[in-house]
This record gives sequence, C-alpha cells and structure tokens, in this order.
Amino acid sequence: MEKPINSATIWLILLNCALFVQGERTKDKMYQPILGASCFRRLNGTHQTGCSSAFSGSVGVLHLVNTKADLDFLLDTPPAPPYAPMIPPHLFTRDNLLRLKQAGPANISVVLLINKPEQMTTFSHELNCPNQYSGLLRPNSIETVTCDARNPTNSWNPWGTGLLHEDFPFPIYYIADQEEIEKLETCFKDFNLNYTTHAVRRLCAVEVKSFMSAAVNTEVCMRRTNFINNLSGSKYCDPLEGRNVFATVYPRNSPENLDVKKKRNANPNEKFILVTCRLDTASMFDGVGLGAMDSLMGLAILTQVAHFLRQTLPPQDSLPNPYRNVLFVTFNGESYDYIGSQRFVYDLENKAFPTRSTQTTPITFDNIEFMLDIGTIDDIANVKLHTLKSTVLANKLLQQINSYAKSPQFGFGLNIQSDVSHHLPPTSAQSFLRRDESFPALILNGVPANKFYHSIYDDVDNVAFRYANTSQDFTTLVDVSDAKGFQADSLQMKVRNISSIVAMALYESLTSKTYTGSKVASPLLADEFLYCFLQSSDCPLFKASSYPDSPSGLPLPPMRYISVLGGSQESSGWTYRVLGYLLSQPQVNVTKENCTILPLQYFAGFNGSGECRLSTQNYSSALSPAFLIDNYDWSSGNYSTWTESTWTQFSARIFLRPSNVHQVTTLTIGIVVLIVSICLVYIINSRSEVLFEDLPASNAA
Amino acid sequence: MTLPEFFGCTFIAFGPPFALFIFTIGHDPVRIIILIAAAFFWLLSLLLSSLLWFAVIPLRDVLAFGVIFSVIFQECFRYIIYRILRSTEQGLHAVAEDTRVTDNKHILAYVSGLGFGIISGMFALVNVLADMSGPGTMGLKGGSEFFFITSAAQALSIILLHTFWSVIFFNAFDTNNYLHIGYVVGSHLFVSLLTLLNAEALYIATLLPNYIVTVLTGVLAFKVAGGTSRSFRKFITCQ
Amino acid sequence: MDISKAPNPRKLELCRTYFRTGFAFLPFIWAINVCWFFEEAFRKPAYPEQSQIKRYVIYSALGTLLWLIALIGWIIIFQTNRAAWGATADYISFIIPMGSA
Repeated sequence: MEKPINSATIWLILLNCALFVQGERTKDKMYQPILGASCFRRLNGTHQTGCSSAFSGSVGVLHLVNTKADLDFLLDTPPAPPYAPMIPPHLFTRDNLLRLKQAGPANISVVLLINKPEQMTTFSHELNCPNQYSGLLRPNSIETVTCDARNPTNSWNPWGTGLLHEDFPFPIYYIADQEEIEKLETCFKDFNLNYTTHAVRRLCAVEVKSFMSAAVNTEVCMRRTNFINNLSGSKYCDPLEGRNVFATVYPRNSPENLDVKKKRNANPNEKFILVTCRLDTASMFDGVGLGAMDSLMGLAILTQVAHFLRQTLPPQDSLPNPYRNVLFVTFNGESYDYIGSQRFVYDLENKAFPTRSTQTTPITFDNIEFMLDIGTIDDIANVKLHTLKSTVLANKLLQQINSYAKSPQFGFGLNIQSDVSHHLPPTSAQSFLRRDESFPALILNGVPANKFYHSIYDDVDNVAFRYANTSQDFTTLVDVSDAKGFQADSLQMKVRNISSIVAMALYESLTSKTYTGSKVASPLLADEFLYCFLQSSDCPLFKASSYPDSPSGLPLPPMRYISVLGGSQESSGWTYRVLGYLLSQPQVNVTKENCTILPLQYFAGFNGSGECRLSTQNYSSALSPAFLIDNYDWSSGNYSTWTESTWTQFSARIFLRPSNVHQVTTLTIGIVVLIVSICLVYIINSRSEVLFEDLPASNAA
Repeated sequence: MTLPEFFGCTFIAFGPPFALFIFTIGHDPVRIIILIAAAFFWLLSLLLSSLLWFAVIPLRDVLAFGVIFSVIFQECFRYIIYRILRSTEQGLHAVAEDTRVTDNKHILAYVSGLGFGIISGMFALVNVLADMSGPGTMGLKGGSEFFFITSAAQALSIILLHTFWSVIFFNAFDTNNYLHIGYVVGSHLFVSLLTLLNAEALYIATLLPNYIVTVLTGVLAFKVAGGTSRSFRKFITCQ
Repeated sequence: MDISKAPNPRKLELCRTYFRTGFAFLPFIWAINVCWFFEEAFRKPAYPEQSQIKRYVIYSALGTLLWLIALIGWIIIFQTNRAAWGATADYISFIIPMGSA
C-alpha cells in the first residue's frame, strides 16, 4: 500500500510508520540498497593497502564503463565530478586503476567492479612474486631470493597486477549479482545519459560506506589500539590471526609430565615426516574468493594423502623404525607473509608446539626427518619437486615418486621433474629454509598456470569442477581400475592421481617397502571434499565428520580468508573435523557414552549412525610472532606484520544527486524568504497602529 | 536531501514564523507561555486523533477519515484554548507586565494561533526533513525534485493559516459570528483534504488553492483584527 | 548578580579575587573579569577604587591575550606537525583521529 506523503497529514503517516511500519517511507522512495562486497584496508609494518570510503560515505555519479574511451572521458573531461565508474573485470587493470587513483577523490570517489567477465582473460591482484618481502631473503635485502619481480614472465604469478598491495583513496565495491548490476545500469541509463547537461540536472549516484579506522601502518594502529589514553576503548586494527590444523597418522605415544613448572623436553626418538600445505587464500573483497586453484588443490591432495596413508599403513610398531610418524600440518595465513608457518617455526624453536594442553612432548627440528610441502598444483601434468640443494633424500624421494607416477600398473602417466635452485615457489617451506637453509624441505609445486591467482574469479569454473553427487561411500580406497564413473580428465581423477603418487611414495619411505596394492585414493572423496569447500558446507563429508545430528553447515562454501580473532574461522574448523575423521582409527568397543574425552571423539560417519574414533588432530595458533615479541621492530621484516583495519559497516545505495544549481536555488529561496519575512514583520510590527486603526488607544505602542 | 537543500527548506517553512516570534512574541514572557500552551493543546488533539485512528481498525487505510477527524479534534481544542484564555484573562491582566496582551483580545488569539501553527508545521516538516538525511534527492522511483520545496511551502501555509484561523475563530466566538466559525472549520477541512492529492504528485493543484485560501483567510483575519482598506492604503503609502 | 548595585569596595574585592583566581591556569576567569568590570573601570564616573579596578582589568586582559596567543600558537604547531611527530603526538592526544595519520 502506498501512503501519500504530504505535509498537513504527515503526522498521521508518522504514526503509521512508528507503530506499524506499513507505509512506504520517503526514504524508501529516494534510496535503493545495492548488495555487494567491499574492499577493505590491511596494514603491514610499513604500509597501508586496500581501500576506505570517506567517514560518512563516498558519493559518486554512476558511469558505465564499457571501453577504455569511456574511462578516458571520465578522467579527461568529467562534466560533473566526482564520478563512480562501473568497471567490468577486463578493464580493472593496474594501469586503469592507477590512473583513477591519480585523478584523486575529487574526480573519482567510488569504483564499482561489476561482474561481467565475458571479455576477461586474466584477473589476479596478487604481486608477481607472492610474499615478495618474506620467506627466503636475498642477503642484505628485504626482497625474496626465490623470485625476481623484475622478470614477471618467470615469476610465480606472471599475471599478477599487485593491486592487492596498493592503497586506494576511494572505496572499491564488487557487485556480483546480475540483478544488482541491472539496477545500476537501469539507473545510469534513465538519468545519466546525455553528458552535456550533467552539470545542471540531477544524476543517478551511488554512495558507498566502508570507512576504515586504521591508517599508516601496523605500528601506528597497534600503538593506538593499545594506547592507555584510548578512552573510548575502540580498536583500530586487529592482527590477522587464525588456526593451523595438524594431525598425525599414528597417535603420538610421547606423554609429557604435567608439572607446569618444569622445562619442556622433546622426545629425541620421535621422527616425523612433515607433510604440509596452505589452508587460506586471499582476495581483494570481503567474503568473496574461494582460492579454488591457488590453495584448495593443495589441501585436497593433503587430505587424500592422509586418508590413503591411514588406510594402508601397517601398525606403527611393525614399521622398520617404530618411532616414525607422519605429521600433517595445514598452515593458515600463508597468503600474508607465511603467518602460520612462521609461527610454527617460532613455536618449534621455543619448544611450544604442540601446546602443553595436548599433554604430549614438544617437537623440535631434530624430530623432523624431512618436510614435503604441497604448494599450488595448477596443472598436474606439469609438477616439479623443488629443493634448494641437491640431496640424497630429495633424489630418493623423487625417484620413488616417479616410479609410481610412471608405473604401468597404475597408469597415472605422469612425470615429476626436479628443480634444484633458489627459484623456490612461495610456499610454507620458505619459513623453514629461512631459519636454516640446510633444512630438508621438498616442495611439490606446479608450474604457474593460474590466471586468477588470489582473486574472486578463482572459483569452481576456474578448476572446471562438476559435482558428481554419487552418494557412494567415500571413506574407503578404490581399486585403480575403478574410476567410479569419473572422466579421466576430470578434476576428481587428477586429484586422485597426484595424491596417490605422493601417498605411495610416502608409504615406501615409511615402510621401506614398495607399495604393491591395487587400491588408490578415492575420486569420490575428492568429489565430496571439493564440493564442500567450493559449493556448500551442507555436504556429506562435513556431515560425516561432525558429531551425529549436529546442525548442518550453511549452503555456502566456507570462508577461506584467515581473518582476525573472532572471525568466522570456518575453513580451519572444517579442516580440523575432516582431518580428524579421516585420520582417526575406529574404536569398535567404546560406546557413545564413554567416547567423550579427547583423543576419543564421536563422529557421525558416512551413514550418520555414529562411531567412536581415536583422533589425532588439533589446532595450533596462527598469529604472527611479531605480535608476541615485546618491542618488536615492525619494519624489520622478520615476521609477518599484517593487520586488518576495523570498520563499522559496508553498505552501498543508489539515489539521485541534486545538481548544484538546484541546491543553490533552494538555499537562495530559503534565505530570501527568511530575510523578506524578517523585514516585513519588523515593519508591520513597528507600524501596527496604522494598520489596525480601530484599536483602543491604549493598545498603540 | 543535501545540506543546502535542508537549510533552504527550513528557512522557507520556518523563516516567517521565526520572524514573527522574535518581533512579536519573544519579548513578552506571557506570550511565550501562551504560545507553548497552545502548542501543547495541538499535541493533545494529535494524541486524540491518533488514538481514534488506532482504535478504528477498519478505517486505518482510509486516510480521509483520519484527516476529517483530526480537523474536528483540532478545532475542538482551539475552542478549549479559547475558553481557557477568556476565563484566565483577569489573572493574566494582573501578572502581565505588558498589558497589551489583555487589552487587545486579538493578540491572545494571534499568539495561540501561532503556537498551533508552529507545532503543526513542525510535525508536518520535521519528519520529512529527518527522513531525508543523506546525500540524495527525490526521484529515483518517481517523484519530483521539487518535493522538499513543496513540502516546505505547504508547511509554511499551514502555519500561517492556523494563525489566521485562530484570530477569526476567537473573534467569531466573542461576537457569535457563526459564519466565521463555519468558514474556519470549512477551510481547514478543505485545505487538509486538498493535501491528499499530493499522493498523485499534483503539487501545483494543491499548492495553488492552498495559497489562495491562505491569502483569503489572511484578508479576513486582517479585517477581523481591525484593519480596513483605508488603513492598508495608509500603511502602504507610509503616512 | 548585578554588579552596578554592589558597593564600590565590594566591586574591588570581586575584581581582585577574579584576577588572582586566574593564576590557577584559568584564563577564562580573566576573560570574564575583563568583560564584567570593563564598564566599571573605564565608563563609570571616577570613584576611589576605580584606579585599582582598572589595573586589575588591564592585567586580566593582558593575561587573557597571552594565553590566547600561546594557545593558538600551540594549536597551530600541534595540528600541522601531529602526523610528523608520530608516537609522541599520539601520547599527548586524547582523541586520536580515525582513518588518517
């Protein structure tokens, strides 16, 4: 129902609105909200990056940019600035963005990125060298030795624009939904065409609110946040903080004495093969960005390897060395200067991993036999094993890997090449190598082929994933000849193949025996895993690895940005459960009632009936050591210093912006009315005795 | 509405009442009290009409019903103020420093009418103004960009009309001039019902008759208060 | 209180008290003193206490002026250099700006 809006009866409307909210408010006639995702501000030890609106929101006149000429028009001869260009992804280039930045907030106040990817070929806002200023550094330099930023074609992200590390003076808002784009375009076409009269008429404009409290760099905003005079108690920024998830293939049998006062001591007998990957991803916009190819592939492979080893390995005491174990770690915050792995290394050095609360002995570097780091696997036909130096260990493992990769028995038909150089991929192993270049780290990494690295478009389509939804049991290994209906070139089969190769090689190095079985990793598990992380948390694998009948996840993929303390931490939570489920051993004799104390844990299981299992997984903190060390020198570059600014809201709305002529006219009329009435009333009042002549004499004053 | 628009509209609607207040009301405490008392009585009438609107559920959507009853309530309260002021005239005469208030009975009418007008004008416009905070103007989903300026002009006419009506109304009860009473109630109803046309954005169709009525009522009030065409000529020619 | 109705010695006493209180880093008291007794000191016909009142009023005015200059100077220096001073500026601020250096 539409309520009329008028002055004499507006009080009635007031009552309508206040009591029943039936009527359409005047505001609703003027503004229309636009849903989207905003770019926000992050800070490191020396810089601020990202975007912020003005305190009360930034307003710009909508302008649809279809070609570069449209952009030139806005920048060279803007008729009624400030403007808000709506840019499709193929024009969202470094050149164009820097030109917009240079035009300044007086000309360009808002930038809208609209989801029209038809002409897009590449879209990556990460640097050519991800984590360029951390990892293994050049001597006496703050830049990494493992990548040459001056030679982008040979870098780890050749398509990178580096916009993620720029500071923009305007908000950037990403509008994904086609309906919302339609709203914007309609408004633009209805009101903003015919540019010659822009200056004198009302125009369709957009207001974006995304004001960021923090500024300058992490040092300044942390100082202000911790400031004793900070009366309001307001936070300016929070460190990027999350959780690493780790699990072992065999339960650790190395209890620690519980005396808190005693120094912690490692168990020198324990030997671990460290298998690691990255848990998080990054993108420019809040809550968007799945990192399908840039990091989820690694996580999928690690999960498959863990599952395969759990299923095939003999009991620990029948191994040649009964103290050997495999430690799987997924590092969080690796996109932001290796937060998780830096903290892991720091904890190992301080004998703080795992924490005392796990009641197991700490692990040190001496316990680690070698580290196999799974990096980005963009193309499985083109994977290399990277090492800093040629070692016996690396050669042996490569030989083992290739023996399975090329084996006619399995028919994987792959060949893993070796790369021994300083040209190491930007993965967690760099944090270990930085501490000690002779650390036995082997990195399995694909040749860069991801044109959407760390972007909103690194999604289901980028990895060509199609959920098969077979509803078959994904918890068992399958025979190599049984493809379960998957095409040989499907993503599920690719994950199966590379995971099986890695897992078999690890099997051989643990047992000192060749893997002779015919079972390989299950493509069904890959299917379910990728579905959960790419399309919906309400999925069979997540259900199976939760407590029976626990509330199911949202029908959205989990957020994989590390975020801050108190953030969603969805991806580490789900990874914890999935690793816990796949790496645990069923305890048939334990009832549900007795299955409450860790490491015993109750899972729903594939068919949801519930099963008690002996689990090994746990969390460790992924907060950069920079925030633990007193008086840390923020600009030293030793540890990651990324923080995220706080904000109060993200919103965008469109409306008509009155022309300056109209505003000035209204104000002038008002002032004239005021002055005229003051003069008139003064004259009438002072001469009222003339005007109202038949008043009693005493009234004349 | 942007800041310049906000001030423009505020000045249009409340500039003339503000001028009237500082030159004719502000210097005398008794007049201020009467002004505020009148505003209070208008609020009471608003309360009653909203209670009625609240109680009669089937007619909630029929805006004309609410308008008619609110006009009747407002006129009833105008009568109540009239009775109260007339019965307290003696007391006022005793306390007032400036005895013009009680000597000229039109002043009481004028002051209470202005109180009525200011508060109703405020209710009419402040909600519009408050709802408009932000950088936009009317028109995204239809509506004229002159909406605010029209609302302000309408609020001004209501303020002036209330002042004139009170002068005519008080005098009519003093002199038992039922024609004038009928005119006040009738023109009030007419003007209020006219604003219902704003739903169709017929701003000219509402504003023009509105101001014609305002001028006519102003002339009538001028005559009632003792003005004549001769005195007006004298005033114009500065004699 | 209506200063014109007070006896002359009372005026002098008030003026002196205000002047002395101003030394407790309260320049507003001096400013008020100037406004309040300006008429008494310079406009009224002469009376015995007037010369002393005049002196206090002049000193109060001088004090106010000094404070004004000092405060304006400090505000200009502080606002123009706040970002450059970094941590020091933050430590002497009560209200730290949001979203800027």
